[in-house]
Amino acid sequence: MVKVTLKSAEGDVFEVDEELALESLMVKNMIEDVGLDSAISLPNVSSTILAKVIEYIKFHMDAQKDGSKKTSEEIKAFDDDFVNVGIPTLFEMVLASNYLNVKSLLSLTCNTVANMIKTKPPAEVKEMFTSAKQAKA
Amino acid sequence: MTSLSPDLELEILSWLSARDAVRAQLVCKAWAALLRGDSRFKALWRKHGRNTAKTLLLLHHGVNRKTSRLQTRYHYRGPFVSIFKHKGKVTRLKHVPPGWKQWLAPQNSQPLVSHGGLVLCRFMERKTFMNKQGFLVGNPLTQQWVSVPGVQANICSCMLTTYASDEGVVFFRIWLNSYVFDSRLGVWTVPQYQTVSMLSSNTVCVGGVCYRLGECWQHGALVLLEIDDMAAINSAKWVHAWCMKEVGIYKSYMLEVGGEIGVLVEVASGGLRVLVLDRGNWTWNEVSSFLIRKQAYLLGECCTVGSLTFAVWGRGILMFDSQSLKWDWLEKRSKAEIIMQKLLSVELDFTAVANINTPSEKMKQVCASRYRNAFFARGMTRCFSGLKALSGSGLSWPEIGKVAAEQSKGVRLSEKNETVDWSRSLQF
Repeated sequence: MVKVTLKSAEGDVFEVDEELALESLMVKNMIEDVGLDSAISLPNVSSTILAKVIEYIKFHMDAQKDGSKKTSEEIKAFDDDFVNVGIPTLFEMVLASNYLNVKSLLSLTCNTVANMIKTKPPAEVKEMFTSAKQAKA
Repeated sequence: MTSLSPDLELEILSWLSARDAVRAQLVCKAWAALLRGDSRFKALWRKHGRNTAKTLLLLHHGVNRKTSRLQTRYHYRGPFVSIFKHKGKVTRLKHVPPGWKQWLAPQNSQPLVSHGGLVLCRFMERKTFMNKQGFLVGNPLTQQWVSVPGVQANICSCMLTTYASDEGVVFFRIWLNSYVFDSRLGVWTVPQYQTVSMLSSNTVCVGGVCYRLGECWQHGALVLLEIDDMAAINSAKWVHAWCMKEVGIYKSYMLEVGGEIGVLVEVASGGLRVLVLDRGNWTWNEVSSFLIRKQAYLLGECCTVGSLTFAVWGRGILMFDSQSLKWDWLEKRSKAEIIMQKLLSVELDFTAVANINTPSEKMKQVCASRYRNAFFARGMTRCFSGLKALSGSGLSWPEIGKVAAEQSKGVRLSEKNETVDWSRSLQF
């Protein structure tokens, strides 16, 4: 199995299977351009977030494989658990999935944020978005 | 680190339902602008399929026998517009408040049908010797109306269908007797569905494919047609055929029952029944029926909203739930002695924006050359020599249907390549 080396913003190195890395269209393009030899640096993604994204892709790739015994409920439970994080982390995940171009993760995280907007009054939504901006600034 | 870009905010907002999208306009001005007018937002929203949370407004027109005046009443259900109080259950019909009709149809016009958030209205233009009719299509929620040129035809059957292109732009099609208007082309045409006249008053979309029932007069055959919303206007595929007498489906309304093609038909002895097509054996099986032995009513206008199908039947409105397969009277007998004429379901959808009047010149020219006599084509030239020979050959109906389906596939392909043009053989 060919390995791909990903380098996060902090400089931590992640080694993942090529198959797994190709799920991210951005990484796929990078591999096509640069090749597999050098490490692919992702300056916009922190180590914790990158680890989470890899965890997500790995789970869904296993679930899609033939002979996997995961039911749709298990997958849903995993997704629910996966996005059950604080708002700053969630926003970072939206950014990361958009940057890495992982469609399914982007849908999942955006849908989660949308569900949060739904249950909150406008003032709180505004606060949620501005505080996220300040936290990052 | 940067904050969320407008593109990402758009992505997030596109996952909201209609009700929440309206509420989210209150957050800030930038969002309000995005949610109200941005075309990219609408495209995304359609893609995510969140525009399904629609409001149902069931309108019911009729003439009051005692006062001889036109009356309109409504049944309202849904979360979106707060003009009326929301009730979670089916309520009885109420009279429309004054001034409300103009909201639904511009002045001097009357609403005919509605689909996907758009309403089709007809207006009469007074000329010296004869009245000319024209049509307006628009979104009552945004009050955007566009005019559609008129066509000289009595309105016997009328249908409006909306569809979205890949970019999320909404187009619509008006089906009036044998005429079809497509807002993408901007002209009226007379598509010839391969010697078939339409039997059902609507199309049904099952698994992303639209079906409609037709009748082949030549052989007395019931034909199931596959009509593609997006494809060329006259490419209807013949899926299967049955002998008309054996099946006993005449005037009908199509609906979806449990993901299969269903049809609502009247029983001669008095009653309605729902048949579902078994697409393995090509047989129609009855799943539910509502029988009244005393009186035979005629099936009037029908409309479907979600899993509920409403049908004007006799002097009342009958409701059929395709999930629980139950029947219920919405209004058994109108107290005001209203003779029912029209049942209109308006699904309010604030993304549905009328955007016709923009057919490209090239498209117009192609249509004009192709349907040279489109306006004057009357009647149908019925010739389908292959099928004629088959019906005399002693083959069974399903077998003929299979051959016909194969043949029409060939017709469809050759039509695209423009080597054999069947429309030419129909003296178009």
